[in-house]
Amino acid sequence: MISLPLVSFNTQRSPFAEGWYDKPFSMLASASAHLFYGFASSVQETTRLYLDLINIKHKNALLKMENTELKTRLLQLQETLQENTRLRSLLEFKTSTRMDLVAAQVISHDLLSDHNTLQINKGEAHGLKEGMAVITLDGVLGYIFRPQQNTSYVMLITDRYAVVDGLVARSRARGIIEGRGGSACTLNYVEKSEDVQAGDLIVSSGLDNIFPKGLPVARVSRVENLAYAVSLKVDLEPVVDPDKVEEVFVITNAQNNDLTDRFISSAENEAE
Amino acid sequence: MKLNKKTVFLFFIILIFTVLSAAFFSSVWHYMLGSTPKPHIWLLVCLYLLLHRPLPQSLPQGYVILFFLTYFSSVSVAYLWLPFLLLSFVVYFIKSRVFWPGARYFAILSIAFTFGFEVLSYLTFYFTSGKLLPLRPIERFFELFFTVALSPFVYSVLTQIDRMFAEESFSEVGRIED
Repeated sequence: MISLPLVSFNTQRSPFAEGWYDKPFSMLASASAHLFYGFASSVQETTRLYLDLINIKHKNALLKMENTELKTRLLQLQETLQENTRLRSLLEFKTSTRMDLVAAQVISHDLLSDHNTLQINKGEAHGLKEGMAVITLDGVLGYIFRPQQNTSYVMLITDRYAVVDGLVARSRARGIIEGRGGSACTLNYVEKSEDVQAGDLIVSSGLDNIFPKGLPVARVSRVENLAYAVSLKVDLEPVVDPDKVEEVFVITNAQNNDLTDRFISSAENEAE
Repeated sequence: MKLNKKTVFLFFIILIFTVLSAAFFSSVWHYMLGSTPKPHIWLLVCLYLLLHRPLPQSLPQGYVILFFLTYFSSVSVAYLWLPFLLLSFVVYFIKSRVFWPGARYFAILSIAFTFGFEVLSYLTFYFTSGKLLPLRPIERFFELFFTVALSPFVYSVLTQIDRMFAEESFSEVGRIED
């Protein structure tokens, strides 16, 4: 037993030499080393994953917050962009027209669904009077029927009390546009011999002393020539959707403007 | 009928509630939900007054509330007052026979009251102008639905106002005068 170390000195060989017994031992050693290395690395990996998970969770929460904030900002920017486009078109319209216009914003709609009115944020203090025309870039919206000091009530052309003198842009057939309540109106007192077709644009005639001549009012949605009726039954769909209107113009002085060419050509292009 | 300061003050609070709700539904509701039918909170307030006040008190109070509503609409006050007058007698008749205080009774009656008001307004307009209003059944149904759905909330708000500012409740059945 004492001589065994000495014997081992004698048996010491080159470190590159490999004896028959070396292979299984080295295999065993490397296998166990692999095993421990695997274990150690998996523990390390799991620990790192856990730590990462905590970080990821935290980062995720931050990113979610940031994402929400960015989405909100994006929506705000889109809204501002739309508003900007709308206001720019309004400004262009105001500067290019000879009419005296007052820009206003819609602040509320009629409480009762059987009535079609809305309220704007300009009133007598801004020079508005009863009977003044209220328009948008698309055409006629209605007219002021109850001006207050700083606000005004606008009667929409779809209201059952609203009446506008109109004519068919294509055939120049005359008629009276009357609101029906809801979102529609009719063109009444059109002679049966007149040429009116579905899709025709109805414009203001200018005879009612409210709207200047040539402003688009509505499109014909249906024409009925009933045998027992004395005039054509013409159903109209307004060119302006009052539910989507946010900014309007009140015409304080039309200066006898004839807008036939200006509006009809653009409206016909849109229709095509 | 005694018309003391407390009664007037209480009515004033209810009037403010009605006006604020009318402003909300004519402005904020529209911007949030577009042309979605609006609930008739003012009708619920009128019904509450008819149920919880003596008729000689609730009738003028209802008139005042309906008058204020004309500032939120182009409606002529006559088209609101006439159906309200007719319905107030119907409600009084029902109340004198069947009445139990509570949100459920209020909700049941609000269905009949809102429906009755819509029908009477429609007929009033037809008989006075000779024109028929568009029926719009879906829109009217949703108006009725939202009104009835909100009736428990309105009932609880008005009951709270009554409890806060009044010494006694006016829910006596069939009582005409104090």
